[in-house]
Amino acid sequence: MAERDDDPVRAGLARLSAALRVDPPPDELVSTVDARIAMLPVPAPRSGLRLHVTRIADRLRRHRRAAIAIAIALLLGVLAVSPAGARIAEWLGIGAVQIQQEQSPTIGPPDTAAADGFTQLTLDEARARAGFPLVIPGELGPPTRVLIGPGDAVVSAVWADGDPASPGSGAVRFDQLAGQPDYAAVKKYAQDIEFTQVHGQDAFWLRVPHPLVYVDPTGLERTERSRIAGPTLIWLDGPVTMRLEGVGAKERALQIARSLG
Amino acid sequence: MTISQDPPDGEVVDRVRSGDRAAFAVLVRRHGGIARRTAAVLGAGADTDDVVQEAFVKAYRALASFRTDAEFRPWLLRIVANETRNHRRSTGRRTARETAALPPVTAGTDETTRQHEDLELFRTQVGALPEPQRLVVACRFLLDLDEAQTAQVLGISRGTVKSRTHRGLARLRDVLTDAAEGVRHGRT
Repeated sequence: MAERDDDPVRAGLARLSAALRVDPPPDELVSTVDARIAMLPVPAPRSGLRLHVTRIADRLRRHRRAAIAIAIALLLGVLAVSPAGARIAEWLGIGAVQIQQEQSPTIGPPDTAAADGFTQLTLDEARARAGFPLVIPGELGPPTRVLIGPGDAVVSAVWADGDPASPGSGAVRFDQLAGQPDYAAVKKYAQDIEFTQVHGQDAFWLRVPHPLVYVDPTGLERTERSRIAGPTLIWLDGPVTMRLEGVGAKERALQIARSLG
Repeated sequence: MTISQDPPDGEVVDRVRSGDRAAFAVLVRRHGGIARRTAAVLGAGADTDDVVQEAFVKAYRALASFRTDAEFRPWLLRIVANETRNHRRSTGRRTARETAALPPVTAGTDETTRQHEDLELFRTQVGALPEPQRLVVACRFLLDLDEAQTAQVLGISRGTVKSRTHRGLARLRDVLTDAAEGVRHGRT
């Protein structure tokens, strides 16, 4: 890249970089890490035919953990509404979860999400980049736009003209989020949630507006501050969490969810 | 930076994933230094060693989701950066601000006291940049990551890396100009 040697700032940064004193890691780093990972399961990739039975058992276990993670987030959301909520959350030992109450939320259309590190690309490019197999609900036809989120961990498909079954109903967005369940999409501040099922898996129907919060595969919690989400259906499919936003009627949302292919 | 790349990271990762836990030590040894520098430069302060240790444990747990066609180092540094950020958040904003954002500098042998003082001052000025700019400037110029790597490590877009680099450098330029003015008017 074009370095300008005459730039005193860049020259200063180069000197600083050379002069910064950072010690090497302590000798015991290797042994400490080894002792800590000794009790963890082997991080085998979840693909291929190997260990099929284990995979199914593992999947069941992970699903339950996902349901718990989402349930806790929802519970916190409810708690946060009451003045004592923050204290209760603290008491539960979930202090790391940040709770912020949004002032007078306005519902943003689901197609304005190119912010917060999302970039637009084609569906084929998204398939190549995402670390999981992408699906598109047949009921909605080809999406208008496809976006990929930070770390390639979220793929969003947007239908700008909305659900073809109800023209003029506003944009629809379908997100697929990779990751282990504690890293799955979580929702907060839900004051009204309905439990339902998609293909026999637990699903959550959120009718009320809520800010969108998720945790990416490296454990970083991200909030899409740019907007507040409308009615949303969330469900799990293997290691991928799905969310469908912008379809107003629950029955129709479920129908779309079942048309994945 | 590391010269001995034998066997390559991808092969070591495969061994770990197939159950050879001891092979993970190869990765810890190989990338421990840069991981520690990254944590220190991004502001882990006195807790740098804890952050590095935690990051390696998290990396092991997340290794199943690592794509072997990708580079291991930026993937690891992303985890280090997240861990540093989480840590700074959990220690509280005030403490985070009070903690020196950058590690100390050593005095060069052929350096005058004045030059050393200037460098110390510059270190504080870089450390005092608004966090988003500071992180990008640190990745680009103190860790020598390119734009794409910086974007990956910080989990932001390349466009954001560009604009934050630009703003950060502009701010440092202003600070340096002000300091130079101060010298002209104050010290002579």
